[in-house]
Amino acid sequence: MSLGTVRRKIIGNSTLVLLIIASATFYTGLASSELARSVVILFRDNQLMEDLRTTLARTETGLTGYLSNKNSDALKDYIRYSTQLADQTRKLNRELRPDDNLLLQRDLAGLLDSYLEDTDASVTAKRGRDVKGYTGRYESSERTAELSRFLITRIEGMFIADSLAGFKGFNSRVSAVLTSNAVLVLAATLMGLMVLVQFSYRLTSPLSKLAEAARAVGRGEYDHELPLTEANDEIGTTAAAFSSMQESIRQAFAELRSKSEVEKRLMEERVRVLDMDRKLKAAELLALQTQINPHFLFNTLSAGIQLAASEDADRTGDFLENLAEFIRYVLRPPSRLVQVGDELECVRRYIWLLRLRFGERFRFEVSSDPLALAVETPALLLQPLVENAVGHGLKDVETGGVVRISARLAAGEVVLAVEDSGAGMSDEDIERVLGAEDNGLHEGGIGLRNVIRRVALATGGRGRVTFARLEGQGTAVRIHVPARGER
Amino acid sequence: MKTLAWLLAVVFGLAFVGATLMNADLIGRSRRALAGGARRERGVEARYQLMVVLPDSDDSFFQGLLDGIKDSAPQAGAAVQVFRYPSALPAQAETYYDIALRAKVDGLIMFTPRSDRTVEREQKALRSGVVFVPVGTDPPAGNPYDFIGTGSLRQGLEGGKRICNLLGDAARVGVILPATGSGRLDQEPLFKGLAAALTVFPGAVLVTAARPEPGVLSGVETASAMLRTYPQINALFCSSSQDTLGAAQVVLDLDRVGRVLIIGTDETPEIRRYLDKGIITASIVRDSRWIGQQAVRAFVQGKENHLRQAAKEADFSIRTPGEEQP
Repeated sequence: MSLGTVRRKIIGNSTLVLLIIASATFYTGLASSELARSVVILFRDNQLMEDLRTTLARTETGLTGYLSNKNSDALKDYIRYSTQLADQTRKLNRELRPDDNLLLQRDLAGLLDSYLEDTDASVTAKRGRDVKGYTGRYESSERTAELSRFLITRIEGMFIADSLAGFKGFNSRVSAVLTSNAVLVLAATLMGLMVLVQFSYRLTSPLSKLAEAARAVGRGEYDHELPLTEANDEIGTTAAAFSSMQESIRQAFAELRSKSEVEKRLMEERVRVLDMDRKLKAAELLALQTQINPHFLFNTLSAGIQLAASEDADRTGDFLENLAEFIRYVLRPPSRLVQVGDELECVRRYIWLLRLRFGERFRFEVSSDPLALAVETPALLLQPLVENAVGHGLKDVETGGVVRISARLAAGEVVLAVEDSGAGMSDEDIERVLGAEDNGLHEGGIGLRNVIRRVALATGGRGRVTFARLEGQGTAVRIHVPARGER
Repeated sequence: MKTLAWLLAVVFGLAFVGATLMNADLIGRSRRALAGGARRERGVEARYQLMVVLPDSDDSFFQGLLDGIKDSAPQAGAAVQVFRYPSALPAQAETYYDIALRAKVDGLIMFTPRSDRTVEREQKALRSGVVFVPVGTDPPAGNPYDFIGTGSLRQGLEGGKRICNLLGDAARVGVILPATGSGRLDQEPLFKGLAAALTVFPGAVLVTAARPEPGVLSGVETASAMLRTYPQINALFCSSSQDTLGAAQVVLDLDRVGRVLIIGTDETPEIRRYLDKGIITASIVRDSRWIGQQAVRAFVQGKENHLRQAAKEADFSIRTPGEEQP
């Protein structure tokens, strides 16, 4: 569950900072406590000596009181204090080690043991009414007490000397301890502050970037790069949501643009369709007009043929017959498919008509592959080429010009070729023909362009027209049509 | 800013850790200093407690004696506890003696002058179960057991011979006896030995003898008084290193170097220097370290084997600028 993560982070970070400062405070408190305990240790031994001195004096008082007056209260006091003295004596060192202080404590312990032996013996003697005995032991105990006090004073002196040396060492470090304490607390506070600052930056930095991205989106910069955030918290979720929203907006705009493009294209298509429709109507009108003329033309030519026959003008009759057949072939729909043989027959008729005009000035050679004759091809492909060869290729040839027409079947396609022995087409001419717009402005290119387009349309783009410039021998135009009609 | 915050956090973190460590170290050292008395190095545990009671004197004899005891104590398993009493207050030795007996230490090595009631002490200690080893220069009356000393009679003889060899019948001698002694001066073994040596030359005279008061300048005072009172003195015989140095100072101050011979006792760096300069003619060096070592040995014998031994005397040697004789 990511909700509340930022809250947890804030709580966690605050806890960390508090822990840092608390640890510093705790440590300084602990250190002060330790020092205080050390001071207690410093005076612990002196306190023991003072206790021994006091208890020894009280024991002596109790003993003296009892021995002098046989006072039961004094005896109780003696018993109480001597027991206390014995307890305190047990706190003294009894180990044998080469150390003056320890050995002195051992001496003192031995003296106090002797003292208590004497005092106990004295009390016992007093109870037994042994005057000599209790006075003797009492005097001995007094001497031992005196020696004990002597040693207590000496040990105290040593302890005080030790304590003073210790205190001197302690005191020389107090200012350093206080300074290091201050540095410690200050460093902990500053470290906590820096952690807090760093955390604040860490927390607010993605938010700032998110806000900047939001402003950028507001300005319309939908591609504004959103910083990557791996945080699995509310900020990360918000950033992811924002990024998703940004992507959605981008996609919506892309779709809008796409739709706009489609609509634009549709509009253009509609305009084009309308234009075509207009052209179609114009064509239909033209077709209607042209349907009227052929009937009149064929009737007229038939009348001419009959007239030539009645006047025995055979040559004129042949001319009219070939012309009528040629016109019939030409006026049929150009989009139709015909056999190559029909196409060659049309060309022969056209050549026959041309010979009437040019006589023997040009020689025409028609050859064909018998297998190619039955192949279907778009109609009226060769005639415009022959017309071009004569009209343009051999334009400047006075005599001896040759036009070769051939039909061959090769590699699954029929190749219809028209070659002339004229000056040949330049590269610019070929380029002009291939790149020319069908606007009728380029003289001599209209027929060729028409042929190229019809080959492409009729073969679905598989057929092609190639041009070859025969070195010093004119131009060869070849039409390659897939052999669909071959049987 | 973010990086700077990190950097500063690390720097302050290090400062925090460093300050904490330094603080802990300081507090640790302060605690050790404060609790020094209670937490001091306790040393190796010993088998015996051996109390030593000596005069608080700068005399090298006592220093050598103490060194000898401390040298031998670890081997004997004894923890040595030294009490020094002012030479001017010999009664305070009684306090330490009493403490030793009443505290029931294992052994007591005590300096005993010739006049001390050493035998009585010995018996009392025996009753308390304390091994008593007296040390000193000459054995006290009663020839107590285990006494280890120097034998000053032989010292006096040797000193006298040195003086006679150099001055013969012309010798006019002043002698400074040990400050730790007591009783009649002519009964001091040192005096007797010196006097005996001078009898070889009938013309030689022991002009005067004195026992200085305990103190650092006692040798100076005594030697000065002798030379002023008896200007004929041409040889001074001193029984301690302190008196020897005092006499040398006086001879230097009175500009009588070469005209007053000094026969000293024991050896210190100052005495060696005076020997080299010819201010001191010779010094009789007592082996007080040996006395200390023997005292510890006697204590161990008495403690472990309950053996008692007769008095022993330490050897001595003669130091001169170019001569050394046992």
